[in-house]
Amino acid sequence: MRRPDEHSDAAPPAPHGFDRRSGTPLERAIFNHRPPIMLICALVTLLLGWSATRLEVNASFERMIPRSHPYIRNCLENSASLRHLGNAVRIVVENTGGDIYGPKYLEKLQKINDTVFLLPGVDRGLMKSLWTPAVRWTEITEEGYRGGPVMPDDYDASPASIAALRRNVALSGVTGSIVATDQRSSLILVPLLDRDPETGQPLDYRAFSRALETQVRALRDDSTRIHIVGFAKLVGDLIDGLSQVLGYFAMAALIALAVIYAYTSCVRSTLLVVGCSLIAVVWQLGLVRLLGFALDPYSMLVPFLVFAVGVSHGAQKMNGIMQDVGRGAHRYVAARFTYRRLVLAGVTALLADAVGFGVLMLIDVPVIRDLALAASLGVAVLIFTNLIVLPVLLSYVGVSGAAARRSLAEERRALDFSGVYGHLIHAMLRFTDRRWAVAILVATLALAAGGFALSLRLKIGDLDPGAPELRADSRYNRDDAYVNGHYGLSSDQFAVIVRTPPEGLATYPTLIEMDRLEQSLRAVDGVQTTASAASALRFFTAGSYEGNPKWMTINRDPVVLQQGMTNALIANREFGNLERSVSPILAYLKDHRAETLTRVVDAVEAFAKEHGTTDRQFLLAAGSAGIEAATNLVVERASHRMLLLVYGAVSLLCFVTFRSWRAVVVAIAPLVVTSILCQALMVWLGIGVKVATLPVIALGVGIGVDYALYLLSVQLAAQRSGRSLTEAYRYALGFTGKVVGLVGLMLAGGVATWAWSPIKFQADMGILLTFMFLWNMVGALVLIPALSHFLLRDPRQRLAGGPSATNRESPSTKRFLWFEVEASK
Amino acid sequence: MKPLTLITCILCSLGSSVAIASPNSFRDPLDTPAVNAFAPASQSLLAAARAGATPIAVGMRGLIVASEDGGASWEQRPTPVQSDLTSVSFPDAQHGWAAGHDGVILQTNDGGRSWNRQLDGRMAAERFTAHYATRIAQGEEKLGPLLAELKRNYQAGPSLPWLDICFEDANQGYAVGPFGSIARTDDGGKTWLPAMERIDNPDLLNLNAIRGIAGELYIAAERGTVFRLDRAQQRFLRAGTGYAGSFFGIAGDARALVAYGLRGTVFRSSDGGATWSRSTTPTPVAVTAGAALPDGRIVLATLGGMIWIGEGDMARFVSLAPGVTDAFTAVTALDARRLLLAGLRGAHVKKLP
Repeated sequence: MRRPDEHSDAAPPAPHGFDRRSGTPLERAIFNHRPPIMLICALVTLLLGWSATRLEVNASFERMIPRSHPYIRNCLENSASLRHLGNAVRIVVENTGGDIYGPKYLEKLQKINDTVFLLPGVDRGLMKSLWTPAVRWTEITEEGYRGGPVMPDDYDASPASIAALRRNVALSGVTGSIVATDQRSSLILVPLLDRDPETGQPLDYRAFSRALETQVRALRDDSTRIHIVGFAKLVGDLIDGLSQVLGYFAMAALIALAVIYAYTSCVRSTLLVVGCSLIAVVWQLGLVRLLGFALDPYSMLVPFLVFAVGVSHGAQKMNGIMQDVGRGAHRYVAARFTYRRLVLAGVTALLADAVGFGVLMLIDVPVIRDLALAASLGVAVLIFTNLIVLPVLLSYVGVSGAAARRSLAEERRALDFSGVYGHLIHAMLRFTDRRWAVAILVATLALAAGGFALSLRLKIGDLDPGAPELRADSRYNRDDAYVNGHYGLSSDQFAVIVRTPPEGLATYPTLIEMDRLEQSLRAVDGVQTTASAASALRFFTAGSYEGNPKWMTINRDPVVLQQGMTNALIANREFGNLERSVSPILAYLKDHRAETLTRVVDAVEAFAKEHGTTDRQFLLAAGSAGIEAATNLVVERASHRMLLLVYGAVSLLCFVTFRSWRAVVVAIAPLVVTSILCQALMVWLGIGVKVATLPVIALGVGIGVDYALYLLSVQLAAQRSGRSLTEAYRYALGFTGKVVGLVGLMLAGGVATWAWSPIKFQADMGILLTFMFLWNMVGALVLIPALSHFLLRDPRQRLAGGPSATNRESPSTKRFLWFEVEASK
Repeated sequence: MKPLTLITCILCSLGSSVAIASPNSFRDPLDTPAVNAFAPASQSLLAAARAGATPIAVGMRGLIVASEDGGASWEQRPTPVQSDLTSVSFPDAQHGWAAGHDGVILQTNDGGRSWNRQLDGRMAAERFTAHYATRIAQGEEKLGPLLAELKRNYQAGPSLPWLDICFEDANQGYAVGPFGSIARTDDGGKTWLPAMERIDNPDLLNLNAIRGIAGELYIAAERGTVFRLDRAQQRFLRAGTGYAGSFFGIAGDARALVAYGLRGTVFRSSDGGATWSRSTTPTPVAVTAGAALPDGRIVLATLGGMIWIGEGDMARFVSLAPGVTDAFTAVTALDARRLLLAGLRGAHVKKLP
């Protein structure tokens, strides 16, 4: 049965009237050998598709940090000695119906404690809770020290033994660390082993996090709540969040399908465009797997981008073919002509995208480099799928005749300014008038100036409390807020590493200098308190003198000092390694804002410069805040270089395409305005420049320039063939311009869904990318004509040296002339 | 790599190697002036006194703070050392002494505005041993064991602290410390001399505190011992309380004396220290500070952050709401209505009920 569409397909002139030997050698190579090309592409798709199915999702802490930054290298070099720092999970068991001194609560706590103790990956010897013997009380009596485990050895849930527990807790000083300050919860400190001592396998964070949920949190009941914080839990939650990303991907694809279908009302071409972009995603994922990478929270975003960019280019191709078919060309001829007209703009645009992604390699964070690589691969793949597979498939399948006729009718309306579309075109043509152009430029300048003023307040780093990777209201961050609110010490730990020769730690000069650094750090705004072997030593020295506070000192007598150090290190193993050569100084910060971190870094750097020697080094940095400080420094340094490079490279590509610096200015200016406004938006929304948001600006510029390339190349070609600016802009709008508008909406719609991601940085990226895609689109459609009024009004003179002026055989000129002839028929 | 970048890199690496090679040597706390502390009145303080109407407190790392407005705001005073200061004594509004670790004794003539060093452990090691050696040479052979003890005390350098200092007037003063160490001066600290022969302390008990009370001088010491200066003999005589632990301090007035120490221990005497009996206290925590109030009550402060008050015969101490959270190290009466408290978290003024 023939459908009406297919019936109309018989009408166009047969392709045999077409000279198959016309066009560039590449075009001939593609279109004259369609079957083998299709076969190869099908095989590649199968192969890479199979490879893509084996792709793993993973997250690694070490890949998220700038490994080659000196701070991080210091941290990694001493990581064996600092293993007590950081990699622990804290499980808080809260009694919702009272304080912890009740038999029911204690029984529950014991059960949870025993369950955690048996989890694989737990460093059992270092585990601390009310139920571990390592948590002890001591008391100085007339006879000397007296002490024992906080949980009485003969605990039998009787009121007497609970009273003993209460007394021991008061004597032990664990309030604020093991017992909450309000006495309504207690904490199980669970240090983790990086590698399983038996198998040597690295800790499986995902499995550990799952076990915490299914075995530990499952033990909660009406009267007990369980809060879990720590890197392992965070990573587990992140990976869980990633699985939801698939849903967002499906949503983005549906949005694209809907938008294209709404535009074309042609099932065939809609499926084709979306299908080709999906093929590109399959290739990209397959290649990533073949290169031995896994998907992580950052590179998870690449398939979105590849898909979005693919749809953008595919829509341009499809639109060109549809117009040609509407004008009566055979689908094969239409495909070849469209290929001719758009291949240069397409390749340039994809190269610009690749550059946008490529400069991200500058950011010295492995996950971002992986993202850059994966995205560059994806764009390279798009050159095949969108510039070869799509036109060839379109040349087979064609578009529905009805859609093509609608497209033609729309073009006619655009020419005689009838209908909504015609009126819109008519209105937009005014942008090339002087009055409108001046108004637009003044408004843009005002906007840019305002945005710039606001963007000066742009902050580096994370601005919100809690784990920045997750949302403020995520369970993890609510748990984190609970633990921070009920226990003494903030989770934003900044560690300075003190390194000496073996045994150098327990010497008077080293400890005095550590004490001095602690004092300097406490004076820094944003430091709540500090801890180190030096301040612990003061307490333990006083302990040797009956707890007399006047003995809270660092004594220069080696015997007194060694005795105090030994006691201090027994009680606080995290304060020194066995050789007594590496020791941390911890600063607990009130937040992890960049200004706070910078103040701490500056204070430590100044101190190290004045007090550091080769035998007594004060090295930055470890702890969560220390690593974040290093990341901020890397991001800050990279941000300016990255912008410079991405704009430089994109400008160069534009110049290669347009052969006119004036045209480059016209193409780039809208992007600059968008970049400025994007920074202002970040200030307004309280989003800092960080590893997750830094790529956005590069991606925005790289993808945004596509619009200018498609629009301006058509406009310029028309102008070079003698059209006035207004007429040329009108053609550009009618040909590629409307697709620019369409694609802007579609891309924005696709990434806007990220805003609902449970992963905070994905949401931030989504919001910013949505903004950039929309603004770049608006900027291109409004600013390009206004700027052209001043810079490109008379291209024949001003574009001297351009291809048409030298009368070179330029494909773009020829393409446009063809379009001219066809359109004026 | 661009040539310019390369040059920059080379310059940078030169710069950093220069920085590493810079010779920073360790500066001893005895040779380094105290750092200007951030929020000086919130630093760890170990003792407090009044210079006339001016509250003054001393603490860790050479810190001395004073308040010209009765404790509302505090300023740091410059000192020549970073040694931890444990004690401060003002016999009048102008003259004051602060003593502490590394054997440091600082002195002021201007009510605590400026401080200069009178003695430190290095000077004492030399002068004290020379003083005893001279006297032994002059025939006081019984000083031999004390000289040996002095030498042992200074073996590890100036490591012994003064735990308390007390001046009865602008000339007469004593400083006491661990292992029976005690020094005295008759000339306002121009010359400090060892005084170990002037105390009945054969076991070389740690001398934790010295205080002038109602015209008498008392030393609170280890093993439940209290010494009182016998003015006629110019010698500190010992009195046992029957308590086995250490006293951290002693306080009182003409009617009552209390000595306090570990685990809520408080002993009282109503006969100038001749006989003692135990008082009841609310909790077994270390009592670290005490002061007699103008109205005859005695206030005690603990390392656990509690404030206790006793009256009459001091047989029983009861808790007061402290109003601040700190581990208290010192307490003194600012006037009839207000207390100055010092602790590991700074200086506090508290109104009395």
